[in-house]
Amino acid sequence: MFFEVSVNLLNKKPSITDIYPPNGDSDRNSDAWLPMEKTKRVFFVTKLSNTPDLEMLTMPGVLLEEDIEDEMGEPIIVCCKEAKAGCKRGSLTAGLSPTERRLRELIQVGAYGAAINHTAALLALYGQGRGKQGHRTTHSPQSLQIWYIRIALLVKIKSFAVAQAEAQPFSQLEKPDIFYQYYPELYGNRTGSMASFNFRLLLAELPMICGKPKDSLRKLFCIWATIKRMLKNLKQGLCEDGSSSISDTDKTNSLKLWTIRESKVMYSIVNCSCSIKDYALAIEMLVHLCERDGAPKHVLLSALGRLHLQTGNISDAEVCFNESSHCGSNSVRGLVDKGLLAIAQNNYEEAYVCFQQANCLDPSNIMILNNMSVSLFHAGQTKEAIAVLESAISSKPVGGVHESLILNLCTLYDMQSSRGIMKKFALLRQMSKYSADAPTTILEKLYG
Amino acid sequence: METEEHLLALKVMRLTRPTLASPLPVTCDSKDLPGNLLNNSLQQDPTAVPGSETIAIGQFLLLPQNPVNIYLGETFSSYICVYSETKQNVYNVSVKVDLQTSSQRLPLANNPPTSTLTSDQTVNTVIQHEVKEIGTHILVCEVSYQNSAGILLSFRKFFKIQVLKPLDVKTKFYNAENDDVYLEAQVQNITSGPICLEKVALDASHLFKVTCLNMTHTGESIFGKVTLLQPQSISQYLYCLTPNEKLISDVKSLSGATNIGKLDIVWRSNLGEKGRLQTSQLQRMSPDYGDIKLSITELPNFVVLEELFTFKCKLVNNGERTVDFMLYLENTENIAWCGISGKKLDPLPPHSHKALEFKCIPLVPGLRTLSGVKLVDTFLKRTYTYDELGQVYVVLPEGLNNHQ
Repeated sequence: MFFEVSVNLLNKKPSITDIYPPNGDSDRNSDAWLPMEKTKRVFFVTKLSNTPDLEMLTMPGVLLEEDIEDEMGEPIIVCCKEAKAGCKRGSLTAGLSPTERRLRELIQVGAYGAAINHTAALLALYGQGRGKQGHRTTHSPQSLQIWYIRIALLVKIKSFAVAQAEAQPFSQLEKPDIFYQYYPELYGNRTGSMASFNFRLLLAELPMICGKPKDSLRKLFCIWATIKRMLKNLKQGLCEDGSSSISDTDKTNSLKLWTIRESKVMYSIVNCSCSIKDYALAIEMLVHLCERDGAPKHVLLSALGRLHLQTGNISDAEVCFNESSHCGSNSVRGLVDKGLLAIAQNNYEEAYVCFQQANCLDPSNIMILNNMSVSLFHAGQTKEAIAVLESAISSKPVGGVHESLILNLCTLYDMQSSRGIMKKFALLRQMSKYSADAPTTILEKLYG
Repeated sequence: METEEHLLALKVMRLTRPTLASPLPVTCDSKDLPGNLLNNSLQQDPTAVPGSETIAIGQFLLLPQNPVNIYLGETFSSYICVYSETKQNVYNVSVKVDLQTSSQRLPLANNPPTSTLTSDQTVNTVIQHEVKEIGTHILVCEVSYQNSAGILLSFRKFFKIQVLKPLDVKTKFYNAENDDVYLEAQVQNITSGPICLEKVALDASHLFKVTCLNMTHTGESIFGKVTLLQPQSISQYLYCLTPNEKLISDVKSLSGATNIGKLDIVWRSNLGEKGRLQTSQLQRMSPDYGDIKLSITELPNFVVLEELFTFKCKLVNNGERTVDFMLYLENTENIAWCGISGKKLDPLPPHSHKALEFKCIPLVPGLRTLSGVKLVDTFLKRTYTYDELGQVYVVLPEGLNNHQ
């Protein structure tokens, strides 16, 4: 359900045509967006060669003064030098000119810090680099893509304040210079948003990510409203903005695309309502999502069940889990849900048995091993709990060295002896081998 | 304070429910510059749920990273680990855990001693205790052991726990004319997060029969499907209590029956963390009935203008002597009585009651009060006047109604 758009490309490396396909219906479909009235007025004004107010323009610039250094501090340098060396692996080799291909490579190896530095260099080529915020500039789909990647990666490395400050000039991508209509001399009659839909969604989610979920909720509902208007036009046989009629195939394709995007926004609203603890809204949205045509019911019902568990509503959670397995969720899913239910009933022994059975069916699943370990700990078996997590890391180091798993392991180490710190450094050494960037929160935990 | 060095050390961690971790979903379309790279990294994230990667409702258990409040009625659970700080063996290790509240000291664990503890072994204890008092609690952990020379050593550690009040329960009582008692209970969530009220029930004293008025006719909760209570929100419950037969026939003890019962509340919060509270015995104001009581037992709600109707009353003698009554009926502008005024009633023995039937004709439409009934105690020459016995709604005859 998540990325149906791209599902057939999943195992294929993106080629240039995937990224910049020739203009056509598919472009119109995916770029479509309805500008606000205020924005439309500017399109009209610029046709008469008047310059719009500066406040109607998008003037971004890189704010981060210096390149991102890896986060490893002094204790690490002293304790394990190889960690630092490992984390340097992904950085930009001096002398190479910045390219989008290089940027993709950095993202692929997970060197997000270096990739962010790379975006700064690329944006400088567009005149939107350091110190350019507040200066007039010209946007293109390419420059907006770089911005999108930059903000997305800043979020991924949890540099929320920077992400928020650099995203601020884009507002909600409603300003006229983000639309093709603003540049008739360059794009002719092409209409729609030059910024991708995912950038729009990310900007709406950003306040939530930065701890202001209420702002996000309003923005997400605005996006949803616009999508609903476009879907209404499409259902009437018109193109997204309602300006002209379209062929049936075109209509089918575009309806499919925008219905998927609508689901995506609804998922975001679920996430947002969970983060403000408005569980009633989250439940309502999930029930609504379940009822949609072609919805992945078993997955959504299981999520709804877990949501009920979080609120403490055990009986409804059980109903949802049962329905989920009737709708065809697999046995691992069922066992994990059963284990979580046992935890809600304060029965960690039974939870362990459920996770262990799931583990037999899917032995390499890190999540299941982790849940086994947590159940063991609650049942008073720290030593065994540690052993499970350590074996998870050594059997699958790439996935195992995960922030949440490390946090759990560090908590267990702390519990067991005063020699926890040495074990934590050993962990750090291991982390440096497998991940290019060490997440900050883990480092704090490791130092602690 | 401990100053001396010990061969053993102790760590305590409060066990609260784990949380469900989930990744921060950042996704792309295949048309975006990174193609599927960000999507792939999300799919590989062990905290993501396959199939619903972008929904932040996870399944990956994360041990609590921040302290969580503890509330009255919840179960306090702690992990106590004793580990060795030396290479030598330590003998007869025993761990004793007590909880000191403001009023008492509760033993929570006193395990049989571990005869030998090597340097890489630990003694693990998990304690659970339902907290029944508000305020400061002290967890007292005492470890005693023998070193290799056989000398008995011990140390203690103290941990402070603040128990908070989770719910605010306000009650109101209404004594109805027919001896029923209505209880209105407001349950307010004063915890920091939303809670799910699993059960709110009135355990009535044996003197009353409870009817819960929080269900619709079809048996559904009036609160809808979700019983979630946000912080500071209030749920309001209504109960009707009917005194049992024995109590009704004895006004003295009915008047003295002030113990209503207890409210039993069970709630759950984060991942099923359970709490349970029972209020103290709820007391109503005792109704003052006096020695003689006349009350309505049967009365129609609607009566037709100028048509005879009947209602029934119960006359109770709660005094210690037999009473002789004269019954007088006085017509008012609303009602004309149909019966004999100035009739002598049969003597009413102490602690007994009798049924009376009245007939009357309503003269004025609308909501009217039944008044004009007088009883005179012929021995004491005392008059009891009942000017607000009950109310009826007087409607126009159907034919007349239709013409209007």
